[in-house]
Amino acid sequence: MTDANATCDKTVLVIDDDEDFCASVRELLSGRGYAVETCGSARSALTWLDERPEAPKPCAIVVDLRMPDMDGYAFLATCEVEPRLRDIPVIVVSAYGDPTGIEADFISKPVNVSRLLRSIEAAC
Amino acid sequence: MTSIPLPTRTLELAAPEPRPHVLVVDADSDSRAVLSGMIWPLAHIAEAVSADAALNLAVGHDLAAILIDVDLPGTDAFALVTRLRRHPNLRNVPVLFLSVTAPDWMTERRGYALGALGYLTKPVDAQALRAKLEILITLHHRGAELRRREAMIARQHEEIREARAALEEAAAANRAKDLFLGVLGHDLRNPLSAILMSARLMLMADQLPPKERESILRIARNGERMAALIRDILDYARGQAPGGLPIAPRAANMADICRSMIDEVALLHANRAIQLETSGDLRGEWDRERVEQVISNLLTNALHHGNGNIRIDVVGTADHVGVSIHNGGKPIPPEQLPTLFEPFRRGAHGRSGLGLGLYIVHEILRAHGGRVEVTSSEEAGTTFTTCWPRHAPTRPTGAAP
Repeated sequence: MTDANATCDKTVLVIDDDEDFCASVRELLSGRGYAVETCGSARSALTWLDERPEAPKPCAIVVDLRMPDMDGYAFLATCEVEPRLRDIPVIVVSAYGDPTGIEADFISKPVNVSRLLRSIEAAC
Repeated sequence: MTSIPLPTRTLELAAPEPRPHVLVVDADSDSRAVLSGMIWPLAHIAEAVSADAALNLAVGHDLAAILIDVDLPGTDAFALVTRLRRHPNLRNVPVLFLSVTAPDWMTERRGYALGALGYLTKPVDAQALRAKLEILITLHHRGAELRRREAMIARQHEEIREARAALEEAAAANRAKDLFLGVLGHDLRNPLSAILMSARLMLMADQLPPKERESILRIARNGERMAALIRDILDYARGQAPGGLPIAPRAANMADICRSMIDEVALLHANRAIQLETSGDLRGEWDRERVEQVISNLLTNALHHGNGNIRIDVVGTADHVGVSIHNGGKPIPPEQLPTLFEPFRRGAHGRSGLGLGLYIVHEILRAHGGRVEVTSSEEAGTTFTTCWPRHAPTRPTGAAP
């Protein structure tokens, strides 16, 4: 699903089961020199990462909290222990407006688009 | 809570010292008359000539004592006592035996074995009888008082049990409400998020013909209003919980926060200029989402209720960062100023909304250990000033691990 834009060297991984949100982020970022990879669950994101051990790591990960299969909390816990993920900035995006217990950058839905853009620009 | 009705018997006794009855069981009418003459100043009298009559009368009366002639014709007085004792209400009523002759050792023992208090020989000495009855009547009243208190304690226990059950029920209802609000918030926000992001992306691309641009602006502005309402309702519900609104402070820069909020708002209100002035060190530790919410609520108010340009001043002092938002136009009526930050107060404009926006601004500042103030006049316009301690207090509960 990666954007077929060979000039992109910055990849943002978006993990959310809401396809419309993924599409919106893709539209926001693809015109600004980012490649966007989207996954519907944390598990499929980990699979995607496992399948390309040689590929450059994403420069930022945008992740929702509530998802089927493996949710954002589990993904955040994995990031803490997984060496390949530990250094990638994570931006949490959730419709539950309560960031309690989350260390990562937190943006509640509906997303402030300029804020999301700034957070991604700061990370990449 | 429903109160438990007291047993009728207890209610009767609750009246100030009602006269109890003394039952006299004696076949001889002269003897009964003499005894009645002695008893009447102390108690009501019920008279029975036979064991059956005695049983009938005894059950229906509040008895302080029973006097039984041991020489009842054709009846064993001891058998009568045994029958009386079988009745729950009569189990403890004091019994005095009357006899013409002093009882022999065996008879006396039989009487005591049945719980009789003693024997009075006829002719009965008035003073001895009254002295005994006075003690029995006092004991009877105390017993009644005790039963009344027991009933009261039982009722209080019942009330405590009910109150506890009601509390548990309320706690369960509260948990259900939180869950409901959480799910409601989530399920409303996700589609709204998609609508708003799409509208914003179209506006940001800036390739729309003017008419279409206006339509998209309307979609975005009204979507924002809905989003603000959902957020206010959820925050109001959360703020009602003990401890108020939870916050998660972390390093942030107040100028960055204000800039990104201005970007968001300016996109939807292109005809209004928002000027930002900053000075001093503007870094600190706050719940960024919450600060954004405050700026957003105050900016939206300034856009709706004021006119002309809006100025935001962000000033860093030694231990605080102040953000003031100023707009011109019609001032807030002075009589509304004292209650402006209370929930469900809708401004004079009577615009849509629940009147929760400023209340939540106040609650967010409170959670950060800061404060919000307002000045408003015809000449100077309206200024909301928020004062944020550079390091928001972190509560032990709800803090990040």
